Amino acid sequence: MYKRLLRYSLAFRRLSFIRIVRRTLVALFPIALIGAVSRFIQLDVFNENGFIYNILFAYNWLPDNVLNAGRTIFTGLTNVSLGMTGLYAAMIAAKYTARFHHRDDQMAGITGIAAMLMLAFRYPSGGNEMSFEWRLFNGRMVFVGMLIGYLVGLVFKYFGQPVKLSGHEHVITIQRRMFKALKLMLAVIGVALVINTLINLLVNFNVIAVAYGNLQDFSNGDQPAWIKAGLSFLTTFLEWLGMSGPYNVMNATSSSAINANLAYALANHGGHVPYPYLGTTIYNSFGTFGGAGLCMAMLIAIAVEAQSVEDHQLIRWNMLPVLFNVNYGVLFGVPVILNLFYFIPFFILPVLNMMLAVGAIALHIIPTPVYSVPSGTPGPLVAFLGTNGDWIALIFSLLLLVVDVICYLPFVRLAMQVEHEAQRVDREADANA
Amino acid sequence: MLKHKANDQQKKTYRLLGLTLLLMFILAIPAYFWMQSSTRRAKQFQKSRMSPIIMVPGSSATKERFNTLVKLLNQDTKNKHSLLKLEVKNSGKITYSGKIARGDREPIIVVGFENNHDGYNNIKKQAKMFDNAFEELSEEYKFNNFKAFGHSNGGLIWTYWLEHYYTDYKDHITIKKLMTIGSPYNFNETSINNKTQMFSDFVKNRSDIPKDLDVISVIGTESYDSDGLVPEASVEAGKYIYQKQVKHFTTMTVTGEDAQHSDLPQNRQIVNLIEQYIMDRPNGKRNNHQK
Repeated sequence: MYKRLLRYSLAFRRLSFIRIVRRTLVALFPIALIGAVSRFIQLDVFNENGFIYNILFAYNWLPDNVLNAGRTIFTGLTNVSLGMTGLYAAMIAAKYTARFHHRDDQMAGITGIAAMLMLAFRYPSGGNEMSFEWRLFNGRMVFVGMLIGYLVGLVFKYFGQPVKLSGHEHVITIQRRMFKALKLMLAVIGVALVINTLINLLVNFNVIAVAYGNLQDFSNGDQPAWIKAGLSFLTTFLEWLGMSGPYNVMNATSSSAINANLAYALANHGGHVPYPYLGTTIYNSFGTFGGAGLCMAMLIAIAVEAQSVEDHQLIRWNMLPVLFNVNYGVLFGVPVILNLFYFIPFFILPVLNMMLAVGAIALHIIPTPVYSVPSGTPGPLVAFLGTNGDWIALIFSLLLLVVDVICYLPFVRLAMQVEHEAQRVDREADANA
Repeated sequence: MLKHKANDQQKKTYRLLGLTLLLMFILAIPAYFWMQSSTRRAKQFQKSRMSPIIMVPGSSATKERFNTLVKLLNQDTKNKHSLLKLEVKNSGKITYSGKIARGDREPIIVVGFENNHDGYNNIKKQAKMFDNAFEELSEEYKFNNFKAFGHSNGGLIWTYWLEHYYTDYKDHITIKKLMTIGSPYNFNETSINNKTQMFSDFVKNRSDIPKDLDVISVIGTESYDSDGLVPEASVEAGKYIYQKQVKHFTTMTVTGEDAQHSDLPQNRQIVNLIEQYIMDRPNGKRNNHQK
């Protein structure tokens, strides 16, 4: 049983697309990490609702223009790192796919970028400025970038000619390669142009905007916890896929039910709030230690199991952003995206946490968190602050974290074993080659 | 050797993990106190039953501008409204005179400025000065709603403040009504075709004005097109700012005795309008939004 599981997962790990995904994610890790740190500073420090900003009482001493300057700088840094990850991903995925099949990787990489830009290009409504669907480049849509890069690489595989890679290249060799790749490049850009025109037509008729709007209305509503549990599945699944999209399904922090709870708690001392099991509140308080999929628990589990120097470095680099719920570094570095083993706990543990929390509230062990907490509050502190400093809620959150770490351990162990095995197979192949 | 290296790494990782968790607990301490104070503050706002009327005089007028008006308002009711007057100095210092009586739920607060000159630049400055005063008032008295009244340029200051400063408060303080009397939204222009910079800016930023506000704009006329100082068309231009943006926008024209621009705050009809549309009902019920 165990052996078979190992074999199947090794087979999955060695699918060419998955191998490309792994290489791409590893290469993108620095960008993701810079973006994660920048995002943490943007959300927590230079933000009037930020956690660090508020607990330092920065509104009393930090001048407004420093706040605004800081916000502008770090918003910019986040946008060019995390906001552009999809573009980088298209390039790297195309490059590695081509190299994997002994094709011209440089030209493939450039073609990957061109295809991605072409697909995201939107016809401007007026004037001659460039207009893009920026969301496609976002780190949350990295799957799209990797897929496009992979497809471009495949085009080079099937229609291109093998290239012998040499260490040192002269202009003339590059020129020869360039002419060989020219037709492929034109063909890929042509296809992207056709698809792009179709997408632009859809945009023109507002199909996409209406669909997004409906979904957003649905997710912002005041559904009970069990519907939110379903939505939590959806969120974590998309995040695992690397396609959590332009919005977060669980994002609502202000709704009539949340406000009703807040008004009730402010007017009375204690007692039962009108909506004790509000899905959004429960999810935000107990289901997101370290971002979606309880990345903090995952990181601690990896810290326990890690063998290699690289794994340890990865964990240490990620600790600070994950403490403040920014999990991009983990998604890209571990990686979580399209990793079979992390799929199950990433998916189920937040829901388990939510169910345990609902149970604890029903048994009056902890009160419902009703107060809104600053953005970027460390995950295990959200319930503590949301209940206006209830110690039992803090202890409960920490217990949940311990449970989550324990649940993550076997999956982490398995994932590492398969990774180890995959590396061994690769080494053998290299030795035989 | 390799084993030793791995152990070393593991130690480093655990040390950093411990430090991170420690950092989290250290952060929890100020966060706890921050949360407590922020909740206490929210509770005070929630509980407050005060709903002041805040008045802003026009150019060349001081904080004493509405003394007669308040006297007239107090003649008609058993519950006397106390009068608090603030003056914002050019240095930014705010001086207080008068006081709010204990238990007065509907005090009248007048905010005047040392710099009481006319012109768009001064209105911007006065709006900023007013905002400082408003922030102090809201911190001091913790009201969660209020009514606004502005005479002449006072109405322009209110408009500028609503478009640029009110967002900072809108989560915990509601502006219920705004009454402006003789406010020249287009300064001295007699035609809407000649748009002043200020008027264009007001129209441009109108989307920041709260949607659930009731606005009443009162026009005084001596002749058929002016109150002697402000053209009727300039007051009427207010509709391009407020209409279709706020919940109700009402304009009224007052003529006859005391309809000259400077007499408007003493006009009996306007006193009646304030009692009817701005003030809470004498039986203690709030004058809530018309449904």
